[in-house]
Amino acid sequence: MRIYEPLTGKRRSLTGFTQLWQGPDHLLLVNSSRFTETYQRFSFADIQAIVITDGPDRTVPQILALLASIAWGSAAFAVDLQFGKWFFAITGLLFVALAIRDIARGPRCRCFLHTAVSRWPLPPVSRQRTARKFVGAIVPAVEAVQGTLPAEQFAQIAVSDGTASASTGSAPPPAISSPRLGAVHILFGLFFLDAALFWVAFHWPQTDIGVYLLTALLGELLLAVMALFQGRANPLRFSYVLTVLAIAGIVADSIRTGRMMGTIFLGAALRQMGTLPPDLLLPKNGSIFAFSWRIIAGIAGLAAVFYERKRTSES
Amino acid sequence: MTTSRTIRCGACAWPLPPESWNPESATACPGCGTRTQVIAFPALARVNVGSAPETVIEAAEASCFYHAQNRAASPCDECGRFLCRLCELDVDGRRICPGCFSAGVRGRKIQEADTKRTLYDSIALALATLPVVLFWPALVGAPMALYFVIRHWNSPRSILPRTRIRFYIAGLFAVAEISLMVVGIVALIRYFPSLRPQL
Repeated sequence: MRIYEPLTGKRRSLTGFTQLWQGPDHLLLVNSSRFTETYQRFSFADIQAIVITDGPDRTVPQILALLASIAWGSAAFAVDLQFGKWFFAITGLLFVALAIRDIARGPRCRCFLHTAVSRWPLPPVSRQRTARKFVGAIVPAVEAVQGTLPAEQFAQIAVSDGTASASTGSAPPPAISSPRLGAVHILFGLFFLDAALFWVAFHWPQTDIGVYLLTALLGELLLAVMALFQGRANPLRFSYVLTVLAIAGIVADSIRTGRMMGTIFLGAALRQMGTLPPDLLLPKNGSIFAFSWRIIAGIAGLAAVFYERKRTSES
Repeated sequence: MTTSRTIRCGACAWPLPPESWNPESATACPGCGTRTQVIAFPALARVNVGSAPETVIEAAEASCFYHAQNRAASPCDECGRFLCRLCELDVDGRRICPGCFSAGVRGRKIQEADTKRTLYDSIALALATLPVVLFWPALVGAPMALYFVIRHWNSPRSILPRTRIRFYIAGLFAVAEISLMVVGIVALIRYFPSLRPQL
């Protein structure tokens, strides 16, 4: 006999999924690890409230993810190898499909279920569309057991519990302290490390350390984008401007290094020469530029970050 | 354990005022300004008071099996032990003692209290299919999958709707793999006489 009906779809992760089901007299939250399932039951009679809060706006990251996926897929036109063409085309299409699916699922939200002894997050209700369906199904079921709460009882409950004075009083909500170590700190610190990498790669090409440059540049770029998002609410814009300038530098270095790598991988020059001339991978001017701006950006960036923190704590 | 009737914002945990409960449309949280919808139910107004056990006054009175100082209120429907108000547990309309409840949970007789289930059919399917990718692990994976299918065919499955299709597929895969292995070994021995045991 089927006693449970699904209320939401599965919210999948790498290790399993969570899903909400409706039972005859309770709500069932299932956490599955593929090989085991754990159950949490919330009796309809015990549910005090359901709170649905809008999630953070992800429009910009979603568009960026879509553009990055298209850029990745379009690399299929840039390579000559047949395998490379198929690899970039298939993975690019997959990423584009995932990005479009994420956008199509609509805005995010958070859902909490309140009982007398707990405030429980409901991870399967993570999109507003899902939340509307969930509320449409669960509210009649709970009201069938409990009835409806008359509006005149609201104030009475709040006064007896102190909610009214806490929420309408003049005391501001507690300040949310920013993390001590953000992406911007790591980024400006990483510039010193990568400057050293460029220095070593140019002066000692036999170490083959230059092959890590593309990875380092990709890491810098990701950190820079993260730093921009984390710092978008910062009223002092010094580190923000420096990060934007740094992105321009990273892109310039990436184009130069990528072109050289492409020359190596696709050209027959390397096979004929046998050894790699130092300035094929890293031209002298490019290396000096990459090294210098990183040192300057690292010093200026860290100084700006600590100045901003000091100003913020003073104000 | 303290109870609370405070409804908090899902983003900043700031207490939400009664004006924002059950509105026509979502309202802004006074703490963080995030759009929030609160659906409040009558359980919020209910004050839960548990029934306290009565104390034994005379020595001749029946007392609780677990609390000798408390007056017995009812017998356990499973084992017949006397229980006070503190110990009687209402399960499916029956009053049972903590010991029987615990035994029932362990023996999976009380499905309402089941908090975890192992999905043997998924394990069997994984054992039958995943090792095939690496070929050699299938020598161990296939017999293990078959063991899981036979051993756990009647074990409790998920409490959610679920058929035995994974067991069927795992069993078929495992039998096919074992058959192939046997055929392979026989063929090796038949066509490579040096592999035959010398009698």
